[in-house]
Order: sequence, then C-alpha cells, then structure tokens
Amino acid sequence: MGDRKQAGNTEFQAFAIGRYPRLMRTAFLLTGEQHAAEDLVQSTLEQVYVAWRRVAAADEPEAYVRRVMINAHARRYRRKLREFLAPKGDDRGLAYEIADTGDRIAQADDRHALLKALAELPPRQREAVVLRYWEDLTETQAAEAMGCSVGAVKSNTAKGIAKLRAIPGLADMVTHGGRK
Amino acid sequence: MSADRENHDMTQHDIALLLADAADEVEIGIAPTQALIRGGRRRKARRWAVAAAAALVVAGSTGALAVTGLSGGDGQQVAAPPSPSVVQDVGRPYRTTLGTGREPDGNYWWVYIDVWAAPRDAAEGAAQLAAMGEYGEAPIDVTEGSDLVGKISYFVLRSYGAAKSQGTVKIQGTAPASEALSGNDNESGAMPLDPDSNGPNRLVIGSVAKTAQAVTCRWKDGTTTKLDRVPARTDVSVDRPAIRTPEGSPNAWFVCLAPQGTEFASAEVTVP
Repeated sequence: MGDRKQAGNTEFQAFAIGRYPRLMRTAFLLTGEQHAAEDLVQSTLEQVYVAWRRVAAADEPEAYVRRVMINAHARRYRRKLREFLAPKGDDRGLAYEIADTGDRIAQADDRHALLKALAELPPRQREAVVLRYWEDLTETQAAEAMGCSVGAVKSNTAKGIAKLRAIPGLADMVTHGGRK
Repeated sequence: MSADRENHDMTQHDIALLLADAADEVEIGIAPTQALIRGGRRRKARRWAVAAAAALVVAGSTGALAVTGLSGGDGQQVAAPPSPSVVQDVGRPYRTTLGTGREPDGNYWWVYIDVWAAPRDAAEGAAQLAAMGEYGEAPIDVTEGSDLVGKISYFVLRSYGAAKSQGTVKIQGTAPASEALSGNDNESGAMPLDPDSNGPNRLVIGSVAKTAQAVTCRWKDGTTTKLDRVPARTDVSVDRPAIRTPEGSPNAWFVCLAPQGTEFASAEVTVP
C-alpha cells in the first residue's frame, strides 16, 4: 500500500510539474494578479491530488483540472476576494518596470490594459473568454469546464469580447491587428 | 466574407494573441510539488477533522431509526434496513447507524452517518444546504448550494451519555460519488469515546471500499478486533462491530471500540 501511495505521489508530481506553467498562465488571466494566480493553481492542484487516482485514470485529465480551476475561481469570486477585480499597480506580474525600449514599454502598457479590462469583466465572462481564446477550447469543452450550457458559453463569450473591444486602447490595438 | 466579418475575426484572433502575450507576464517559477502534496493531504485530513460541535436535533422521520438504535436494550438493537423504495430526496439524509454500545458505567455510545444525495442543480443544492442547517450539519468549504451540485455529502456523528438526544459531527466530507475508495484503501481515525475526556483514543471510525471483506483493528496492547462485511440492507445488530454500507454512500464504513485500558494502533483491510 505504501508503494502504491509513493507511486501515486510520483505520478502526481510529474503531472504537476508538467502542467504548472500552463496552469499558472491560465490562472493569471483569470485573476489578473501573480499571487492570486499562485493561490488558485495551488488550490487546484491540491484538489487534484485528493482525487489523483481518478484524475490519472481519466481520458482527459486536463479537462478535470480545468473544471476544478474554474470552480475554485468561481468560489473565490463569490467570497468577494476583491483582489481579483483589478490588478494592483505594485504587482510584479504586471511588469510596469519593463522599460528598456519604447516599444516594450508600450507592450507592457498594452498587457496591463488587457489584464485590467479582463479583470473588469464579470467572472463568468472572464472565464469564457479565457477558456475560448487562451485555452482555445471549443464551446462544448468550455461549457464542460464551466459547468454550464453551450449557450451560456456563447453568451458570456460574446458579451466579454464586446466589452473588451469597447476598451479604447484595446480597440486601437485590435483594429490594427494587434501588437507584434 | 464581408468586411465586417473579416474585421470581427481579426479582432478575436488578436484578442487570442493579446491574451497569450499577457499570460507570458506571469512568473512561472518551479511547481511547489511538496507543498501541493502537503496541501492535498491536509485537504484529505480535513474530512476527518473533528468538526465544531454541532448539536443535532433528532427529529422527524430521519431521527426515528436513530432512536431505535439505542432504545432496545443491550445487544439486541437492530438497524432497520433503509427502504429501497425511497426516491432520492436531497432534502433529507439517509441515516445509518454504524455502531452502538453501552459502557460498564451505563453510558451509551452511538455512531451514525447521514448521507445526503447529490443535488442535480443549484436550486436543489440551495434547498439541501438549508436542510443541512436544520440538522446542524454544515459542510466544510461550502458557501452556496451550487457547491453541492453533483456531490454526495456525509456527516458521521457520535452521541455519548445516558441521554441519547444529541450527536456531534465528528467527520464530514463532500465529494463526487465517483470518488469511491477501492482495493485496500482505508481512511480511519480514532478519538476518545467520552467527548469530555482527552483519551485514550478507543473509538475508531473508518471508511473503506465497498468490496472490503474485513477490517482488523489493532490495539496498542497487541489485541485485535476483526470486523466482517455485511451486505447492504441487511439486518445486523448495530452493536456488533461490522463493515456496513450506508444507503447512498459510495464507501463502506466501520466503527470499532478498543477494550478498556488500551487504544487504537492501526486498521488493516482484507480484500477479496
């Protein structure tokens, strides 16, 4: 039994190491803040550990993990942890300090504008946009991750994208094909 | 394709690029695997944490079985088999007595489990959460009914004393029904039988796979108590230590009590 548990731990560690970068990026887009992203990933992977045997046996472990992360994000939002609402100026994740070329400053500003705009979306719209356009999920996959209907995904995505497009800075960026 | 549609597609494509660009801003670092495992273990352990004392009002039809379990006298109590005809009702739990007994000083002890069926939607979840409150059962980490959707909740309660009106939640968990134990999995914990004492840890409550054939509780004095599995919905004296399968539970449960003067050491599962 001890050997089996050890093997499970080893498998879990390999899984966590492999998925960690992607999960951190997704969590960062969902939360808009470095520490909140770390917390969200930590919480997600802890829950994955608890259900590891089932996750490991699943056809699509990633789908399970996404579902856990979205649930955890939604739960935290409901608890009104307001740090999710807006990126903080002193957050190291927002890279204000990048200033070696004018272009990179502008690039950092663009990122900040997008993160800020994302953070201002209602959580379900934010989740839908991130899952569809960052995770590149189909509407069906996004619906599974969010635990809602495909129609709700369509609606939340459309509303989220519309709000992002209404942000003046972003509108300029996307009108010109995005910053390269 | 119209110009508008073309521009629309370009916009969404660019948003994907911008998201990827923004996502690169996060500092990835090294996956804290040891911290994750520790955290995961803590989460598992929380299911077994002694919950805050919560008075249980034994009332209504779900309380009837519980009262029966203690009222019949020494050694003759029989757990009534849950009715299989009962339609899944998320507004009240299935209650199963896991074990009872009477100490030489005359005090009764009684351990039972309430299993709540998985709500199918947020409305059912909200109704269930409210109903749990009426039973004095509050799931950990659940703030809204939607948190319960698709998940079974269980509460193991212990009552002790001359009176039999109250139980205290000792173990709680909320998890998808598919998260069942298997093989020789064993989650067990021990506590003093008398809630007012600090030991010894004589009362053992554990959860095992439904397929487990037997559990052997080992006591610190070297003696053992063996519990066999009894089929679900079978009449078995509730003061006879056994592995029982509560209605609605994805796992089997057992309770055993160490002899006077010793306490719990370990529990081993025998599989087919």
